Amino acid sequence: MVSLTITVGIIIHLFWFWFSPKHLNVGYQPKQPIPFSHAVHVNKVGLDCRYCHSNVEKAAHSNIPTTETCMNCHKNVKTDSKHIKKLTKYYESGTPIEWVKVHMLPDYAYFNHSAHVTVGVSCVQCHGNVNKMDVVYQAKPLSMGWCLECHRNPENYLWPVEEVTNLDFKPDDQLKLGLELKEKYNVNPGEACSVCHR
Amino acid sequence: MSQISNEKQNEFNETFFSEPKTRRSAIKTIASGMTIASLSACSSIRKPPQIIQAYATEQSNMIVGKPTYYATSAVIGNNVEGMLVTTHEGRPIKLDGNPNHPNNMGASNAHIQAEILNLYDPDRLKESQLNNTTAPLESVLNALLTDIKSSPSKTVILMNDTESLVHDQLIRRINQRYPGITFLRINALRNDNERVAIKALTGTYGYVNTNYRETSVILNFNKDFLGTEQLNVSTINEFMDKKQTRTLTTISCTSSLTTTDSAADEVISLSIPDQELMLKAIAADIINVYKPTNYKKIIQSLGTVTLPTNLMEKKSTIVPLLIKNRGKSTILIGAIHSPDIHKIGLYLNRLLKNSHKSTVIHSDLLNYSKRFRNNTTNEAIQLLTDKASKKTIKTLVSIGFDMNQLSQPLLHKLSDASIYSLSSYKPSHVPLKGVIPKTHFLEEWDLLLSKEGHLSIVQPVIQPLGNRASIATVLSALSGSTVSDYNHVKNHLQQASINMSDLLRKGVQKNYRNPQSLFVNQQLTLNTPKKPSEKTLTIIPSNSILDGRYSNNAWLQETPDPFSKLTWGNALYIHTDYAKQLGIKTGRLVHITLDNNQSFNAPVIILPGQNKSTLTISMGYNQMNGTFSEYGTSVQHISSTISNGVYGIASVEPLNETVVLADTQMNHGLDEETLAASGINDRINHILTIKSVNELTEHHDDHHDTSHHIHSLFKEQTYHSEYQWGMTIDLDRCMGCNACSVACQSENNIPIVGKTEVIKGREMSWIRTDRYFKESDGAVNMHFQPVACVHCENAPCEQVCPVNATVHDDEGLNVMTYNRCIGTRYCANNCPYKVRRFNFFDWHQKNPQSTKKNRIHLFDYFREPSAEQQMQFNPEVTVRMRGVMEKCTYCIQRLKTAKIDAKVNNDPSIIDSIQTACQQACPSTAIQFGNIKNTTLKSTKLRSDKRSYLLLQKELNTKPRTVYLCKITNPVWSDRNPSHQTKGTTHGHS
Repeated sequence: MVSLTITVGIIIHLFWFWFSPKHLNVGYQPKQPIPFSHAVHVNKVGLDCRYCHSNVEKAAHSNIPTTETCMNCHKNVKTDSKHIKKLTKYYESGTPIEWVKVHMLPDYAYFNHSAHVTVGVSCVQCHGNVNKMDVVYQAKPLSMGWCLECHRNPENYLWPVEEVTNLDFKPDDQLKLGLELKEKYNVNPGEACSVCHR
Repeated sequence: MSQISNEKQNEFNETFFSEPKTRRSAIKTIASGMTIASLSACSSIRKPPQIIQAYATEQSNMIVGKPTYYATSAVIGNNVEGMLVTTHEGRPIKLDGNPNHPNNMGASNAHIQAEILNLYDPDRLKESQLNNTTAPLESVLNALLTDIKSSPSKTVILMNDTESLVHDQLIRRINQRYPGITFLRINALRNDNERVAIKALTGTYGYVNTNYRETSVILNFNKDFLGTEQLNVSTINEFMDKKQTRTLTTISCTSSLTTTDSAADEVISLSIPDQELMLKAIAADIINVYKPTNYKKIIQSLGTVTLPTNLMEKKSTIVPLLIKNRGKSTILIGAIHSPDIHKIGLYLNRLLKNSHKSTVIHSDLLNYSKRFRNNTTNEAIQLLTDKASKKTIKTLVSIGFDMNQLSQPLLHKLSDASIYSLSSYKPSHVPLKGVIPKTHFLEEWDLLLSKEGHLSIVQPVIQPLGNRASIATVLSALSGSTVSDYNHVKNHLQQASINMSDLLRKGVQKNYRNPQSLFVNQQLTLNTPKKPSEKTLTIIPSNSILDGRYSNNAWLQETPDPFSKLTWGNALYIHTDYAKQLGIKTGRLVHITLDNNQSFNAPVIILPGQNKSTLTISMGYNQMNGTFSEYGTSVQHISSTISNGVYGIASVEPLNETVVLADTQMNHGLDEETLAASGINDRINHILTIKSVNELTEHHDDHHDTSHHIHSLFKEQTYHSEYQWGMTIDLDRCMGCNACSVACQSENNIPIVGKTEVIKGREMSWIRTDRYFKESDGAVNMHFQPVACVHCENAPCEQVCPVNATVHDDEGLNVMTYNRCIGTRYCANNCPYKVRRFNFFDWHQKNPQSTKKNRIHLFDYFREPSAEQQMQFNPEVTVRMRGVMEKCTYCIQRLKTAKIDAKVNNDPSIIDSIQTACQQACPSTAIQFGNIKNTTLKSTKLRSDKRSYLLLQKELNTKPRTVYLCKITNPVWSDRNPSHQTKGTTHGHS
């Protein structure tokens, strides 16, 4: 009986946790061709997310910045660093930098950044505190069940649109604020399959 | 006793290993082994890392992930059509009409839609060749120039028709540079016979333009003016608009049904010689009424015509109708008819005062006679043959012309010449000295002047996918100029003081030049007609591949012909009676010998709408080398010139061989023969409703009665969301042209399946166009009904899905979630409309043009679409795998994008202007789509039109969201109450 319980327990654990994105995907931290630190650029330099990810409010994709965007500053800043020299080489040759994708959704799920960011879903809700990451890793499981947590009760996550890129924002009363904003932004995310799958 | 005790002993001792080794247990073992293997594989193999390559520099006018649209144009068939190209990150993925261009106003046809596949065709040449070895473009051009310079007068340049101002100017320069050079233009689709007749009667070459707005009666002799002989895409809508005012009567004399005939009110099945007699008889009557000068002589030249009684009766209705509508009628003559018949038509139009009202003859805008040595294809072939026989051709250059269209004996005569070809595919059977790969129009600069006088720009939207050259580049090199195509266009526009950036944005400058109107001012003189054969063969351009120019386009090859519903090849159309007489059935091969002693073998397909003494076959098949072009029967060898036309048949002998034709009509049918027994024949009028004008006004419509006594078997859903989607399909405007299904294929990444799989009924097209034959008064006409998923509110498919992969969303869409689908196919079985398509295989992998894939892990597939084909895929739509059910989604990607854009930009009007891909493509605006809660939309208003009905609603209470509008005919002499006539309705096979 005991062994049966343990076996069943292990099997449940095996599927529930080990095979779930919580285990398989969270913490994925690939090595990037240039060790770009979000922490330095956001906290020390004070860049807004949208300086680089400029299309996040306009398009489904949040764009990876062009090499030219990096060079706006790095023409002059830290030009003697070996990484910046590598960057300059990329810029001068015009070859794209091969960044490794961290947050991967399956091809049949169609996530739209603009639809979320413009109604007060902060970057932090899906990407974690990128402002504190030297090397970006996947902080949230990005599983369907996890998406639905917010789609069912968006009030638990909504922030004012002005604060979406302020990753350290802490509302006093999230539920009260969330309910107000849900009304204000007319947020009805929907749970139908067609919301994300086409 | 002992046996029982033995079994009892073993009852609990049975283990997996003690089981007898049967097939079942073996499968069990394998299955469990696979499960364990795959589980361990899952935990140890991560998803392969994905790379994001960001642009190195900022891209102006592009947001990554959002489509960008460019205006361009091209010659499609015979017409210049403006186009709007959708590009994703520099990859063109879809073509549509340009709403600014008067020739299509944003609509398109199947060929416009399918052009995008030609761009990415991996079979297209990529590198130049000299003497069959790869060589740089420059060296081929140099060799060509040396050959031309050595003897310009022994050089012949073959071209297709060109509407380009740049080409026109360059050809003029080449003619000046090499005075003896011969330019010839050959185009199987050009209406040469009409042009010859116009030249004879007006003194100038031109074309006939019918103004449908000013027309009340159309008498048509075999002209497919809504199909392969359309003047431009817009004319289809003009015709349909006029038709729906119910003040237009169309009478069509036809030897083989076309899309045009399906829109006609009356059809008379006549062979080509009989049509000539009919026209002459009508002409004699009309000339007798108006008595123009020398009328007796003209009537005499028409010859004595004796018509059978049934035709006499019809003539006695037609002639008064034409006279009553003098000035508002038109007589149209098909390209297949001889110049004399065209002359009679033109002359009658003048007598009936139709000229400059309903029927306008326009002159050509570009002076072809000055640039080219020939005016007709026959002249070109004659000249070429003469020169070849005299051995006065040293260099033959084909610039954009498909050399496969030349006959074998002619090519044989040309074997001494150095032959060069600028073409997309390497011509087969032609001994070539040099080949230059030709660019697609999406890879080149050009400036086109349509015959209607609109100036449009061709701009590249992608770098050539190979070392290709455009026609302009080659002509430019021949003219000794080093100016780039772009600069040619720019210089032209500067000279004409047209703002280039403005033209690039709009794509077109309307009415840049106005074609002159021509007057019929010559006497009608006719040649003595040849004695017609009893049976005739007509060779017509294919609805799918035209004269063969689209024969390597898999989408068009798999698009069913409107009349025969054949895919992947052609067949001889034969009437039921003629087939019975020969004792043959569909698929039987026959050996057919013509009066000119040429012969060929082809399978037959029995079609009720075919004329009893005419056989018809479409041209262009199996005359080119390519992955998809070697299907069907080639007929190009039966004539020394281009093969379309009329031929007398000497004999038809059935052979002892039968082939299976890839006919889609019986696949996914609503009225399959098995169902016929259960009385569906009586219900056919509910499926495809056709009414006469009188019936429409008399009868009260009861189709909208959704509270019918049939109860739902399951709990009905209610829908409260702000947006509720619905579609209306107007059968009165539909003429089965297939633009919608090709547009759907392009938009939704729908794969092709190939001939053998079509035969098995596995084609994937989300929209099928059902063809119904209807007989009234002995004349058979066909009617079309496009059927895609109708998005039932009480959807039977949803009830049987074991995994909830197909469910309703709150906007009334019956959604299909591919990643949930496990492929039981219960839904397809339970779908009464038969609109669900199953991926029996990974079709993209099975495509013969697919390439080997780098396998990343164990379960990776072995093949994938070639890199070029992958570029065509719409990134907004999932590419489906095998084992997954799919169907029309009402273009959900467009709905979602519009809703998000509306919200982000705070502009709800974006949602009101949503168009589905089929709606956008439809040249006759038969498809309307929108939010049914918005009562100001056209689609919503049409839902409550008195013509509207719901398919199978009475029988099944499915409450479909797609509403059909019934077809209306305006009969002239057949029974005025056609609802009693539907017993003759057949679905094709007899």
